[in-house]
Parts: sequence; C-alpha cells; structure tokens
Amino acid sequence: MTNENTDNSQIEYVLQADISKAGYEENKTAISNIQINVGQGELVGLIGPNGAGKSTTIKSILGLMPHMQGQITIGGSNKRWAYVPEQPIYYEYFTLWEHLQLAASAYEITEEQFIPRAEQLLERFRLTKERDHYPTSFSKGMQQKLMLIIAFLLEPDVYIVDEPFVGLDPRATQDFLALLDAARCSGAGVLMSTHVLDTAERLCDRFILVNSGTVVASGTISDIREQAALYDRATLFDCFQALT
Amino acid sequence: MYTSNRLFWIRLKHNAAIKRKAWGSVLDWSVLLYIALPAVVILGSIYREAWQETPLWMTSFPWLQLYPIAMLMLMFAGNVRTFIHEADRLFLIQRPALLQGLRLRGLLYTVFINIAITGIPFLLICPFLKKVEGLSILQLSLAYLFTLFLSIVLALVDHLLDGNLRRWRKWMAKTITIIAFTGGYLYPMMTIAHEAKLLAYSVFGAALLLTAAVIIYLRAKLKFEYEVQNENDAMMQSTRLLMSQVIESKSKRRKIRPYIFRRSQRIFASNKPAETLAELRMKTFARDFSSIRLWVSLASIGTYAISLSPGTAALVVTAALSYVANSWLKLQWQQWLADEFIASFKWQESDMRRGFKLSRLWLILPIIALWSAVTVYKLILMLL
Repeated sequence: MTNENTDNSQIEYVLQADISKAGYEENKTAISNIQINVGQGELVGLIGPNGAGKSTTIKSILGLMPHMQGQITIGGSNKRWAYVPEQPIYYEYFTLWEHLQLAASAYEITEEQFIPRAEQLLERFRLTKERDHYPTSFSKGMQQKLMLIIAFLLEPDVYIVDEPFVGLDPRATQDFLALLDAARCSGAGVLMSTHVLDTAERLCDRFILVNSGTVVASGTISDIREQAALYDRATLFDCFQALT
Repeated sequence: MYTSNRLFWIRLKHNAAIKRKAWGSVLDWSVLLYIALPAVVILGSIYREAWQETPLWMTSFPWLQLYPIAMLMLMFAGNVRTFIHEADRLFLIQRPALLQGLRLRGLLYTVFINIAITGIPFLLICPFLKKVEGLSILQLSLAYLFTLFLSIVLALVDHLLDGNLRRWRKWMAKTITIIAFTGGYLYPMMTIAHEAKLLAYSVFGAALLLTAAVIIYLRAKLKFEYEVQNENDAMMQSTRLLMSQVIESKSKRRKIRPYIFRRSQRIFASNKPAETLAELRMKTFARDFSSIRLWVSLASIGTYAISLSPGTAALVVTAALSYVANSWLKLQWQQWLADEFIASFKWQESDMRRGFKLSRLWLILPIIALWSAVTVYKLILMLL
C-alpha cells in the first residue's frame, strides 16, 4: 500500500477519503486501501488505466457505493462538494435555467446571489442564448458545460470532476480551467479523474495513480518518478507505463 | 464468411429471442394455464357458437361498413423491417451489397408479417361476411388481396417518407398519404357487395402500386441512421408495449424549448427548496403531454361517472375519484423525485413533503373543482 507523501499538519484538507474497501457486492471488493487527501487550493489528479477503479473511488467518495468501509470527510467553510460526472445528467422537462434554479435552491442560494452568478457563468460558457432551451437538444459538449456551470454555481469546497475534457471544445476547456484556477485561488480543492495525462501533468499539484483497485503511487510528479524508478525527466505518461 | 442470407437468419433469430424474452416476462406458465388457455377456450367456443348459430344482432351488424375500418387501423400500424443494426456502421456500411441483401430479406419478412397481420383477422371475419353479407369466395379473396397489397404499399410509403422528409414536409406528405389511402381503400371495400368489378380493378391497381413501391424502395438510397433507429424501435416494440404502464418512457424528441413557461419564469415568488420543487413538478406536469392526456381522461371519465351516479352516491363517487387522483399524483411525484438529476441533490424530508403538498394542491384543484361543481349541481337538482 502506498500512502500520500504529504505533511498533514500544514494543510487544511477539503477532502479526506480513507477507503478500506468498497464494492458493488458485499463479498466482492472492487477497490481497497485508498487514501486521498485534497488540500485547499490543491488540484489532485486521479489517474489509472481503464477498469483500475477510478470511478469506483469517486462513487465511494460520493457515498454511492452499496458496500463501503472507510471514512470520507469534507472540509472547508461550507463542507460542500460538487460533482461533475463524465456522462452529463439532466432532466428532460427542465430548461437549462431551471436546472440551475433547482441546483441553487437545493443549496439555498438566494435569488439575489443566484441570478448574477448564473448569468455570468452562462456568458462565460457561451450558453446565454440557450438559457430557456431543453438540454435534450444540446450536443454532448454543451450538456457537459451545463454540468460544469452547476458545479461552479454552487461554489463548493471541493470539486470532484470525472473526465472533464471529454466532449469539451478547446475554448470551453480553457474557460473551465480558468474558472477552476479562480476557485482554487479562493480555497477550493479539486479531485480530477482523467486519462489526459499530458494535461494532468501540467495542471495537477499531486497525483494518485490507481491500478487493480488500489493506489500504486501517489505524490508530486517527482515522487511518482521515484516510485516508478524512472529518470528525472520522465513524463507522467512514462511513469504510468512503468507502474501499470 | 458472412452472406446476406446468413446474417439475416442470425438477426431474425436474435429478434425472435428478444421478443420471446419480453413476452416470457409476463406470460409465465401460471398466466398461460389460468388466463391465456381458458381465454382461448372460452373465446373459441363463443366464436364457434356465433358462427354456427349467428345471433340476431350479428345479422344486423354493418360488417361491410365496419370491418374495412378495423383493417385500415391495422394497416396503419405496419412497418418495414431491414434488420440493419447500429454496429453495422463499423464494418457492414462498407459492404453495400450485404446491406442491400439484408434490406431485400427484410422486405420479404415484412410481406410475410403483413400476410399474417391482415390474414388472421380477415379469416376470423370471413364466415360472417359470407353468411351475413353474402359475399362469394372470389369477392372475399379479392378483398383480402386488396388489403394485403395496400398494407405493404402503405408500410413502404410510410417508411420512405419517414426516412426522406423532415418537419412540415413530412407532416404534409403523411397527411396526404393517410387521406388518399383511407379513401382509396375504404370506398372499394365498402361497396364490394354491389360493385365487385370496382374491387377487381382496384386489386389490379394495388398490384401495380405495390410493384412500383417495391422498385422505388429497393432502389432508394439507404438512410443508415434512420434504418438503425427504425430497427431499434421495431426490436423494442414488444418491450415498450408490455412496460408502457410500468415505466415512464424517455421521449426521443429533441424539442428545443418548452411550449409552456417558455422563458423559464417562476410560478412562486419564493425560491426555497419546497417551492422550487413544487414549481418544477408543476412545470413538468404541464409540459409532459402524457400526463395531461391522462389527467384530461380522468377528468372526463370522472365527470361522466359523477353525472350518472344517483343523488348522494355522487358524493361517494367524487370522494373515491379524488382519492384516485391524489394517489396518482403521489406516485408521479415519487417517480419524478427519483429521477437521476433531481435525486443528485440532497433534499430535506420537510421540503419534499411541503413541495408535494403544494404541487398537489395546484394540480388537483381544477379537477376537484369540476367534480364538486357537478356533484353540487346534482344535489341541488335532487333537493328541488
């Protein structure tokens, strides 16, 4: 088992997950011994090959796994998380604006706070014209933008983002990253599951590499290189190849 | 090496297996033994009795006017099968000859299905047409051939229109088709008794039409996406039919914006969770045509039932109907709340309760007001 090489005493964590084991059936463990800590303003990349257990880890953090042993703690001022799924979810008979209204109301965001914030986000993601349209008529990328807008609208302490770059055009990716940076500057943490290793290497502060349902390496890129026994200039992709 | 023939038979077996599974889920041995078998025996003996000793009402039944309408309804429900699957976009799309072979065999299957769909009810009605209306075997054969030919033509024309036209053009073309087929089919069929020659000419015309439709269909460019969609719909037809009362089907419409509350305007001033939930539930109800249709049916049937109930019994009927309406709204609310998007937020129990009460009040109010008005009117009449 590999633990994260971070000095716990200096960082205030917005997410602390200590998953002993989790699975879809009681006696069938899908993931085990996974520790994830995300500090304020930190971007942690959850990486691993297909079927490694990334989605199961995220589901365990969100409390969606039927069988899970472990402890999940959300920190920060509001103790609030926002999840951006890989596959957009929306309701057939709500307009884009009504999706935002429902999300805002669930988190008791007042109308005075909601309207300017929502309008600003729509503007940012170039969806103002589609404000009163059904998301069923949107492309996958536009539906993904809706998921991102909901997440940013809630101003959570931790963002849990599953494959955010899938379906987004370059401008939307840029906007997403800029907003994520702004959120991090105001103290939010991000746990991001992705396959886009070069972008992850550029953006993430730390990485958690999972394989076969458990953590095989974690820490900064230097830590990962060390654990993979690779040379100084090895990329995350090289480490990924060596460790999985 | 796959040939069109082999591929067709594999897919036909797959199609049969899906349908068998769907029907098997509701027709287990107990249903077959206690419901289906007795029903076949009872209905069979009633039919035999009606055939041998035709009751008086059956002899005065306007068979010639009504059975073509029933057959026409069946004809409109027909479709064309191609057995083209979604996965064919990977490889088979590069083999047009194989796809064309599948299309040809799909057409033969469509013909076979049409023979059965039009033939079985026709055979059942035949004895009465012969006995009551006095039609000859030749007239009956012509009537059947005419029905069969036109049912295949109609299916092909409908398929071509769906695959090639969009929006108002499609709507216009389909409306014209329905009108033309209704007139062109019903007139010769209804006048068969005294204008047998007209039907003979009509059969000849239908045969020419069928030949032309088959040639056009087989020569038309294959609309792959449409064929896949059509085939998926046909494969799931049995499942949809059996599950239609159990699950709320997700619409395939890609409507851009709603007809009601087009600007996402608020209904309640407050944006607290309970009010927002109630408001969005009401909007969903108003925008979902199937809910409105069911609500209008309940209102109409309920009003009719109350109007038929004598005196104070109307009060009991109103109370019972209100209970039914309330239970239905509650069930709808629970299903709505369980939707993935709505359930992805944490709602307080008290907000959900208040949201339900609020939406129920505004949704049930018009229907209860209508029933109460009819009941009060009946009571006033009784007192006077």
